[in-house]
Formats: sequence, structure tokens, C-alpha cells
Amino acid sequence: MPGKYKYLLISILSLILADVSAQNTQVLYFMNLPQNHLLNPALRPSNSVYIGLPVLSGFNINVNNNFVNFSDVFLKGQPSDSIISVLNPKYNIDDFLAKIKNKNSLEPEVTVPLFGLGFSVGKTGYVFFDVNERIDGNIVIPKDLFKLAFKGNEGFVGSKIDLSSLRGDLKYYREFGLGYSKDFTNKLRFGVKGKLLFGVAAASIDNKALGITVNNDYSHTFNADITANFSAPLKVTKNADKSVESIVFDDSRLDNGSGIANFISGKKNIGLGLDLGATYDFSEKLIVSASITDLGFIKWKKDVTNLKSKGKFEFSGLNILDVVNGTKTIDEVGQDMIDSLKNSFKVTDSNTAFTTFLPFGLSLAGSYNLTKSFSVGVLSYSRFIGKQIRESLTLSANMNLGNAFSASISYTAENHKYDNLGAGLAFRPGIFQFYIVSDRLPVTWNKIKSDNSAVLIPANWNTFNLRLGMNLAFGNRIKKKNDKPMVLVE
Amino acid sequence: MIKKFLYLIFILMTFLTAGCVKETYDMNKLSKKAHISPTMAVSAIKGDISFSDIVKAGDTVLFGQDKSVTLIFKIDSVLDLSLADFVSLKNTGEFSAGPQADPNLPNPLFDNSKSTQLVAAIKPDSIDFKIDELLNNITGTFGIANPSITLNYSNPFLLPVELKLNFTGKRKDKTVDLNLTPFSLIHPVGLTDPAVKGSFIIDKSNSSLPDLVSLPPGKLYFYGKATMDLPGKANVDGSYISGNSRLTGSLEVKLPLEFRMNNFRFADTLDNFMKDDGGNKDNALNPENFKLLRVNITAKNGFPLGAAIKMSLYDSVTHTIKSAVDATGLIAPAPVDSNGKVTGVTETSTSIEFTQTFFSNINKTDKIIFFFTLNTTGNGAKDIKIYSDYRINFKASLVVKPDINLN
Repeated sequence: MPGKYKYLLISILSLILADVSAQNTQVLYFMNLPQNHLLNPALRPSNSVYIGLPVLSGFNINVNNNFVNFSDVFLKGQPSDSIISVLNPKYNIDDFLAKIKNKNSLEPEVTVPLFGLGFSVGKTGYVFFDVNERIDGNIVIPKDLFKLAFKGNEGFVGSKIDLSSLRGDLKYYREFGLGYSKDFTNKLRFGVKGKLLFGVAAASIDNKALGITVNNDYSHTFNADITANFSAPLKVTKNADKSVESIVFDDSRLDNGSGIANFISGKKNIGLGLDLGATYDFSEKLIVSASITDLGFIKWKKDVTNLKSKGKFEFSGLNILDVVNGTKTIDEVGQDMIDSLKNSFKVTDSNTAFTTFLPFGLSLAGSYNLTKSFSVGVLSYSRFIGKQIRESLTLSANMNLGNAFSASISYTAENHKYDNLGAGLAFRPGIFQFYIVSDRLPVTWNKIKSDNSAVLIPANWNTFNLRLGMNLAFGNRIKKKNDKPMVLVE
Repeated sequence: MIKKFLYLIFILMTFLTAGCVKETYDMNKLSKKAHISPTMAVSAIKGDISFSDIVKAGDTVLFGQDKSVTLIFKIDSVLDLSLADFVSLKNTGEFSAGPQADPNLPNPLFDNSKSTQLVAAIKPDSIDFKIDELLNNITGTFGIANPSITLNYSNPFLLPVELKLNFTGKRKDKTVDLNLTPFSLIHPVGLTDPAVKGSFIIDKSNSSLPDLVSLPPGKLYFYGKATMDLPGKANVDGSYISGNSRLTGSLEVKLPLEFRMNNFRFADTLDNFMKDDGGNKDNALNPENFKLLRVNITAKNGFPLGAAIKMSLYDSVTHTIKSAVDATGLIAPAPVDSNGKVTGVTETSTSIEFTQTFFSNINKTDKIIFFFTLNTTGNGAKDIKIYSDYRINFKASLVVKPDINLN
């Protein structure tokens, strides 16, 4: 095997075996749907015009967690068909903790398209404009926090309860995107999409350091350097020393329509975003593509509250010397300790604007057309969330019958799971184009009975992904070829 | 191929629609128990404490220049006799009675063999330390090495006065007498001489004082007599008196902290104060909510005293001890030299563990018996000395495993 191919193979295997997790709708990539330009702005649908309307255009929901399933939280047959929860004393909590990763993430993402429009310009150009409401969250809970809650701190003696990976980031913003793609050569097509972002509300934790060292003598050293940034109508109450006493949501700001409108307009929290993409046709059969999506940021200026706590505190027990010599009571010594702890981690607030960056994605794809309407594809999608990288690798088989029907099945290695089967289906009766896409089809289900009702939930819920909706589609750029055969004239 | 692919899609969609139920969870059979039991370990208290931090120097505690510690008690007006208090045995015959402050006091007997003696009874008195209950709960041996009592007196009488003082310590049915040999007071020589101030020391060389103090007594009785020998015919018109007309005296008790203890144990039985009386169901400190409570104590002890504690849950109905925690080697005593002075520190680590069995027995018992045992270095084989700069450095940490009910 030539060296470069060997390294390529090793790289691919590494991707599969590594901490594989991403968040996208990979199945969509090779389907003939207007929405695939969200993954690569160089991709274009075959229809000349599409329109997405509020509500009807559908929605996209992604929820990733990398640590628990229903069956991890509830255990059957202890005894017979009785069920115990993870909080039951019979549950071996070590079994549960063994399933917990060092960094446990929960990444919800909801996109609700408000409006979408795309149309052909000239022979190869395509313009698309869309407006989306987006909620994007990323919460990371360190394993040590679970161990601390369930097992206590004794297991950490001589080590550190490391909470430095604790992170929380939740953004609600509105995205206005205007894109254009065009063939630059017969083989190369570029696409670009600029985005104007209006932030509605955000909460973001900037965790530089957070941990508790538990020494062998059970003394503790608390260390924190953490800032929580909010852009939301909050009411902060302060103490005389300007430290924060309490913080509550100021719901009086949302008492009337104008208040609500002012809140959700997000006019002052402005950001920019960019998607870039390209496709290259090596041949009629082999096409490769790449894109970077969601490069961007939002500068949060409205209703900003920064809560900051930085300090270090060592606790090695109440010193009872003062009690012994009669200068203080034990209650006073205890109160002194609490005051000292409060002073060490005094929470102060400020109103400094802050910036959050969008988690951006990098897609590398290749497809091979086995026939005119049937192709196979491979897609690597990497999502960069701060210092974390999520990876997924998707293999798919795709069929696109003009504008009328598009279907795809896929296998995705993602999120520590290697049994992700996905599928997408789109069909177009007339001008209506319906679609449903999911990267993860629940192969097995759990039936949850309660009282007289029952619901089915996926047996594995590490990743939930669903995109469905309806487009209004007009025209079709795929036309029958009417080339005449070349005739050799002698 | 298209046909095959459509078949595949069809199968897939069927699979999606029908699904495959892996497990059925009947949540009606979900156990309602929801508990967590984290084991929390935390430093509780610490201290680096010297003797002088605990006990301040003052009127009753004296720190010597060598930092030795002596306890001092003063008893005023032990002696207060005028000539009128003296009685001529020749004139009165048998002296049979003196003031009886306490019916338990022995009747002071006077030597009436000398017809030319004047005798005064020292008013019997007693001191009740009100520690009988405490002493009833104390066992083991305790010995103070060098106690002393100094009688400071002012004597106006020109003639020699001999004092016979007796102290009797009593603890339960055991009594120890001072066994002090009568001694003479110094006195003025000339008629115009002022009253003479003198002192007399009572210690282990002339009495059984160490035994008396080491009893230790719950009640101390003292009584005695003063005898004045008359040279020839008595002249009772006052010519035997110089200056102050009263013989007065006070006592100063000195207890240098030089002692030995061997299994000096205090035991007490208390009502079970931890028992749930059923009044407060929301009691956050319900002992049954603990699976484990362990107290870890580490000490660097610079005192020549070791301590041990034991706590037993006692059922007075069945007369059985249900559970006990025992910290025999709680604190070990520091090493001492041949003079009883500490030469270093002894480091001890002890865990006192209260198990779930112990907690479960709390509500099954009505009494708690405490034992607190002290031993000096060498288990009381030799005397040790206490100095004000002795220190103990200790840390106590708690390991708690609560059973937190989340229902």
C-alpha cells in the first residue's frame, strides 16, 4: 500500500475510533433538497426556486449527550419486572459511574426556519436567503461532579475534584443568511453565505479554573476563577460591599407586548457569520466537496450581566484555640470561617459586553455516482466547540430521481456509538416538497408504561436528530439532454 | 439497482414504523426509594494548644520561672484564738467538748495530763468540694507527688504554743488523716515585742499529705488544738500576750502539678440524649439517617498524659450493652525523662467509628455510658511534671456517610 494511502486509512480509522461525536444532519448532504446548502453553500438543489414558509418549513432538532440512556438510569428486574432508578440503594452506583465519561456533554440545538428563499441566477448561479431562529446549547458536566454527588469526596482524598471542564453555553439568536453559489469552472463550484446574527439571549460560563483539592488530612483547597455572562433581563441585588446578594429574572420586562418585542428583537446583540463551500467534479461520477459552516460570533451588549468569582480558600478545620482561651465561642469561630469563605469567593458583577463564538463545522465529502440517479457518499463532519472537537463519519447510499424523489440511507459513526443508521426521504408532489431526515433511526425501542398509557422511546438516546418540513419548490434545472450525436463527415 | 434501493427504503421505513421493542418498563412498578449516600470527609477542628492557652496564670495557678505549674489554694482564718479561748484544765477539770460544726467530726481530745496547760480548741470546720458524685464515678490510681500546706500565722503569745492540726479527707467510706506531728509556733520574747509572724510547712516529710490529696477527698475536715504550757503559777491577767491579742493563721495549699495516674477512669451514665423522642419527624440529624460517622483524630501530644474514651449504648431494661465505640489509644502520652519532664511528642492517629449498627441501636437503648480514662507516661509508674509550655497539636476530621432520602 502506498504510503499516503496508508496514512489516509489510519486517519480514517482514527476518526472512527476516536471520541466520535458531532451534530449535524449528515444524511441531508447528498440529498436533492434546498436545505443541503446549510451544510455546504456550494450545494444547490435541482429546483429553480424554493420557498420555505414559517412553521411549514419545518424544524431541526439535535440533542446529543454522550453519557446516559434510559436503561442506564432505570434498571429492570430487581427483582422480576420491578424497576429501580439510579437513586435506589440497590443500584450499584459504580456501574452507573462506569458509564459516565470524563466530560459529559449535552448539546441541544433547535433551528426553526422562519423564511427561506432560493432561486437560480443565470446558468449556474444560485441565490438563497433564509431566516432562522436558532437555539444552540452546549453543557459539559465533568465526571467528578457525578462522583462527588453519588460517592462523596472521600474517593478524592489525595487528589483533586476537577471541575475545570464544567461549561455551559446557551444562545438564542436569529440568523439572516444570504448566500450565492456559482460554477467557476466546469468542475469547480464555490458557494458563500454571509450571516447577520441578532442575539436574543445568552448565558455563557467562562470557566478558567474550578476545583477542590482534597488533601490526605481531609483539608480542602477550593479554587475558582469563573465568570458567568448573561445577556438577559436579570435583576441583580447587591450587598453593601457591592458583592452580589441575589439574581433573579426580571419578568416585569416581559409584561407587555412591546417589552416582549424589544426582548426578542435582539437588535443590540449583533454578530456575523460565514459559510464557505466548494465542490469539485473529478468526473461525472466522482465529486468531492468541502465546507466550513457557522464561522461567526455574536457580541452581546444588551442586558449584560457578568458574574465573576475568583479566589482560593483553604479549609483545614475550625481552629479552636480561640475557643479554648475563651476569646470566642465555637459559633463565632464557625461564622468567621463562613465569612472568610464568602469573602474569598465574593461574587461581583459588571456589565461588560462579551462575545460568544458559534461552534463551527468542517465538512469533507466525496460521492460516487454509480448510476445517473444513484450514488454512494462519504462525509466527515467535524464540529469545533471551543477547545472540543466532535467528529462523525458517515457512509451513505443516495438516490435522487430528479426533483420528484430523493432518498438516502446512511451509517454514521458518532458520539461513541457505531450503530447509527440514518435515513432521509423527500418527495415532491407538485410544488410541495416534503422531507424527513434523521441521522439516527432508533433500531430498538423501549416501551415505557405508566398508568394506562405507554410511550416508545429509543433504547439509545445518545443522539437524537430530526429534520422535517415542507418546501415550496418550483422548476427543475435537470433537463433532458438534447445533444445530437456527433457525425463524422469525411 | 433503483428497484433494490426502493426495496431497501421500504424495509427501512417498515422498520421505523414498526420498531423493535427491546424492553418494556412498567413504571407503575418503579421502586419509590430514592436515596443517595455520599461519603463526605472534612476537616472539623484543629488546634495547637499549650497548657498556658488552656489555663491562665493567676491567684490559684502559678507558673514558675522554670515554667512549672503549681496550684495554690488559700484558706483564711483557720486560726483565730484569743487568750480567752484557752481554758485552764486545772480550773475546769476534764475538757470534754469543743464546738461541733459537724456531727461527723471527731471529738477533739485534749491532753489534760499537765495541770499547768491552757488549751484552746481550733474550731472544727469542713470543706465540701461537692464532687462526691464525680468521685463516685472515678476509679484507678492517682498520686500527687509533692503537695504542701503552709500555715502562715501571727502569734502574740509570749509562751510557747503547740499546735496539733489534723486534716481528714473523706471519699466515700475511705478516710485519710494528715498524721501531722504537733509543732510549736515561734513566739515573741519580750513583753513589748510585737506579735511574731511565722510559717510552718506541712508536706510529705512530716505528714501523710500526699496520700490525703491523692485520695482525692470529696470532703475535707480540719480541727485541732493549741496548747500553751504555763511556767509555774499561771498569771492570767494578760501578761502572756504581746501586741496583737489574737493568734491568727491561714493556710496556703500548694499542689505542684507533679503526679501519676494509672487507669484513672471517669465513668458516667447519662440518659440517651440521642434517642429520638418522636417529637420531630423532620429532624435532620436523625441518627438513623447516617450509615457511618467516623471521627479521625491525629495528635502530636506534648503532654505526659494519655487519654482514651469509650461510649456504650446501654439498655437498662435488659441490662445489656447494645453497641459501643472504643477509642482506647485516643491520645498517647509524651515521653518523659527521669525527672518527669517531657522530652518529645508522641504522634497518635485514631479513628472512632460509629457504624450503622450503632446508629440503629440508638433508639433501642435508654442510657449512654461514657468512660474517659487518663494515664500518665509509663501508666503511672512514675511521677510526671506539668509545665506551662507543654503543647498538643491535634486535628479532628469527620467522615460522614449520610443516607439522604430524596423522596
